[in-house]
Amino acid sequence: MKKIILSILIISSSLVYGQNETKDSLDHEIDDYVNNVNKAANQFLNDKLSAAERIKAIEPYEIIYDEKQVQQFKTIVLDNNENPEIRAAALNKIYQFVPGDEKLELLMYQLLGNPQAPKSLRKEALELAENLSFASMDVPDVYQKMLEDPEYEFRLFAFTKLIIHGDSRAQQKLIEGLENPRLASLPAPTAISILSMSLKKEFYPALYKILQQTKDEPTRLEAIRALGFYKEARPKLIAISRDAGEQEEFRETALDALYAGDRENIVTYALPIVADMRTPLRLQLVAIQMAIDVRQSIAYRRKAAKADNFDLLIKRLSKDKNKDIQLQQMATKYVEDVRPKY
Amino acid sequence: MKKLIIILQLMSAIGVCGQNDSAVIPACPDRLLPIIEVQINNTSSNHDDYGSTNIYTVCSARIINYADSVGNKNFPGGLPVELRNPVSISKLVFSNIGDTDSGTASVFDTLPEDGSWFTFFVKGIVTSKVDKTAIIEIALADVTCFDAVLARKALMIPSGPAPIPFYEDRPRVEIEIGSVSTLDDYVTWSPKLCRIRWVNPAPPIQISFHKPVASNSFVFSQASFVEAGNANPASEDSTFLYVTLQNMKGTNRLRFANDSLAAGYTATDSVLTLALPADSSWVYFYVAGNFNNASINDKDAVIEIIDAEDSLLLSREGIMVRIRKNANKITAAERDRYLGDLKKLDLTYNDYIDFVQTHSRDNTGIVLSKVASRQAHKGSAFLPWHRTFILHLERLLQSIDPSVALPYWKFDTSAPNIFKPNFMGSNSSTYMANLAATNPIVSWTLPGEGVPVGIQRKIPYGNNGHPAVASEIATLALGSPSFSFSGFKSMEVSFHNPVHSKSGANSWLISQITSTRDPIFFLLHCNVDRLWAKWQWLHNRYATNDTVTYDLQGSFYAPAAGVLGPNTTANRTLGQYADDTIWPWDNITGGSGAAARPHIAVLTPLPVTLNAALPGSKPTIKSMIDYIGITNVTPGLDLGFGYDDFFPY
Repeated sequence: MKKIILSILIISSSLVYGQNETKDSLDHEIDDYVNNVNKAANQFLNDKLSAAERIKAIEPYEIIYDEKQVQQFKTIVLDNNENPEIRAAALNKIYQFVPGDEKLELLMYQLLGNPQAPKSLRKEALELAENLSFASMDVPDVYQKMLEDPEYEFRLFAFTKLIIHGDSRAQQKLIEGLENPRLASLPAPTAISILSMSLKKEFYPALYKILQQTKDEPTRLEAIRALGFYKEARPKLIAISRDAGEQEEFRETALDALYAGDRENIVTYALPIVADMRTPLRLQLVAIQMAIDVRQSIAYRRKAAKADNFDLLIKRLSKDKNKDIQLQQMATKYVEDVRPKY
Repeated sequence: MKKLIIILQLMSAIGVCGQNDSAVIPACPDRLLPIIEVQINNTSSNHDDYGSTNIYTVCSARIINYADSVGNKNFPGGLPVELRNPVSISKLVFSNIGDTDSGTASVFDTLPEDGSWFTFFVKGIVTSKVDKTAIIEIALADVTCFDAVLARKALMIPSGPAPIPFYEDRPRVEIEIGSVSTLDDYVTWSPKLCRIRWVNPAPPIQISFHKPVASNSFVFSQASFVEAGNANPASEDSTFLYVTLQNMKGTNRLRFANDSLAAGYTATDSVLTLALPADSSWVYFYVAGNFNNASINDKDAVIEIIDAEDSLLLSREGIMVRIRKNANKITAAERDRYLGDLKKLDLTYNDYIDFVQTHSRDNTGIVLSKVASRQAHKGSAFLPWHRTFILHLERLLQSIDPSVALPYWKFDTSAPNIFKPNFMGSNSSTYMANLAATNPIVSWTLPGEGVPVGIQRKIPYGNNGHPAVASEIATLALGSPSFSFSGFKSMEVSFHNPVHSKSGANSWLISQITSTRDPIFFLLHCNVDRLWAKWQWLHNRYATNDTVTYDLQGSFYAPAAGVLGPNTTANRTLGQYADDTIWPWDNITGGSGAAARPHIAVLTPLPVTLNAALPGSKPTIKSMIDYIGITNVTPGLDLGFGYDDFFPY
């Protein structure tokens, strides 16, 4: 009996030991890592080294930990006489200490609003702004100025942030750019994708005009995608989704748009697409998946009457060995998930 | 006596015996969860949970909590349900008449309001070589609240004889994982209280009982030895049935402990022997997942109950070790289940949009809210708030499919399997992610949000790359050398923010207002939570009253001594202190200044599930910290999740 108990204790202690070993090794790894960062930060702070050497030393590390070093990095960032490359590298390591630090925040905004500022430092300021703006509901004035920035990345950032926050001026500028490409701040497809992120939808009429007029394929594609909720565009979207002469991507995007804006009727839109045997496979699959989405719930299935035309079509497809295997499988999935009353 | 009291307290808290009166249907949080018992062949023992492809097997189900404490019916008119296979496991046909009926993939019917048994029939479509691979699923089919899974009972359709031969005189045992309901048959690395009893000790067949003999055939665990010792194993005439609990061959997903498990520990024994009294009283024990061997499918963690005297198999119970896993490494089946469930959450429950519109918005759709934003960002509550947020979504998903757990995107390393058309989508020539036609989320849509179908995401780091964020080691080192929460919480900026901000200039992910639209948001935040959990484990940060665990101790109205007081600029506002309740789950709205809450709270309450009693429907910051319940006096009280990359005990 003693032997059994001893064995149990050995097994138990080895289990605990094994786990502690993992924890201990991770602890050591962290200690080593912090020591390495501290050393690298010291190298970076050593102004006897060349700028390239200093930057190379700190580059592999994302964060610095030592409070004294953090203060020294801040001092470097705020020193207008310091090498901009060094200032940018220092700023890159202290992002988490910027919120609440008025001087650093002010510097960031000054850099964002000043296209003449050193490129490396300004680029770092933009990256910092991208980081901190994620969790911020503030929309600084400098974003308006950035709408006219000569650099694309700065304009893109400002338009995106302002549009998400519902800024009317930014939205109007993008719409004007769509109507008159000479005034465009951003390429049309990019502008439409940003507009479609907005919770405000004042751009629909202008965009519908674009859809009817543009010959540019990427622009047309983005316009189709964004207009699903615009009722006036619905007949056009239906036509595109069914038109065998349209590129498959345009047809699918039109069906997507109908799904977004009028999901209740998606089976009506999907039926002629799935029934037309010339329809590309992917479009058929997507259309059936949409029907599964809206019909698989108990809420639909309990009240569903006899199988309708779509159910009957899908049943035929599921049993037709001449059809593509993927189409058969998707049809079978429909039958299993929706369980029509055949 | 003390042990008994603890067990009774635990039973009361977590609902052993199905008495958890606070569990709700997650998608309908004002609706009491019906506790359903399911039997196969009309026995509470699993020894005969085997069916056939030739003839129907009789099954039955009933509502356990059909009446409240004063006898009022909880489900007047009965409970409309659908009996069916789980999605993608079409192994059974169902009938409510049996006999010559051909059966169908699902049957709608009503469970009686008075708790009496409802009989139905199942027949196999295909046979299986593995036990517990066919599953009867019972889902709610109410007009206003539907598609919530209420029970899953596993069985087997063997091609030959059943693995457990039927003999009338064999001892039979009944086992409950958590409660009689199967909805809590899901374990993590934390211990779950279970119970087992001998159900047929009485005549007609007299059975002789023997104490188990230590031999090479099985090993006593330390815990089981104590249990057997209590049962006076020295007596040859002891009226106990000795059983050994072990994993079914080829599984090894579970670990066991007896009911003397100390607080702060989990079940770690691969075998447990218990003495089951002849008076059919319950014997309690704990079960937990075996680290590094989490389940892949529901019911694939199978407990075998062996007669310790003759080593014969008495019963099997299929459960699941349900763990949050690295999304880059999950199986195709796990991935597809997750995606399918996510789509149902979005379109069948219509609930996903509430998450979109709660994150930095006032729940009214287009109204942005600084007050809503600060509940969750730029403050101490960032981590506990998002832990609650993703737990809420996970519990809704588990109502659709109890086998699903949130996967995480380990975004400081490459994760090419996530950025594929069959998962979260790859980069395309447009700003929309490329999704496979067979991907359940191919037409990802957000009702009420007014945005195009699809996922607006074009990642500059490419499908095989990763955003430039602080590495895991760099993040775990935050706050060095004291490793206090006040240092670690800055991971919001160094670890979390960049994964959003570097994921494409006009991707939805880049703003707190739009990021939740992208379903990868929850994989992202699951990883953020994983790292907090890992940091907690590494530095033992579970003591909820300690400022190193959470800096803002006390409440907004009464901060603890030495803790900084309210300040709006520094976001020490209502909802940031340890004892504060968390919006929106507390349903507290309005107010002004630092005490302001958003004007409305849609995402409330937090669903209380049968599987995890904690943190309750109105969590506080403090209640979200010790997610494994390691500081609780009694084992088995936790939040119901764990991660695959570290063992927190």
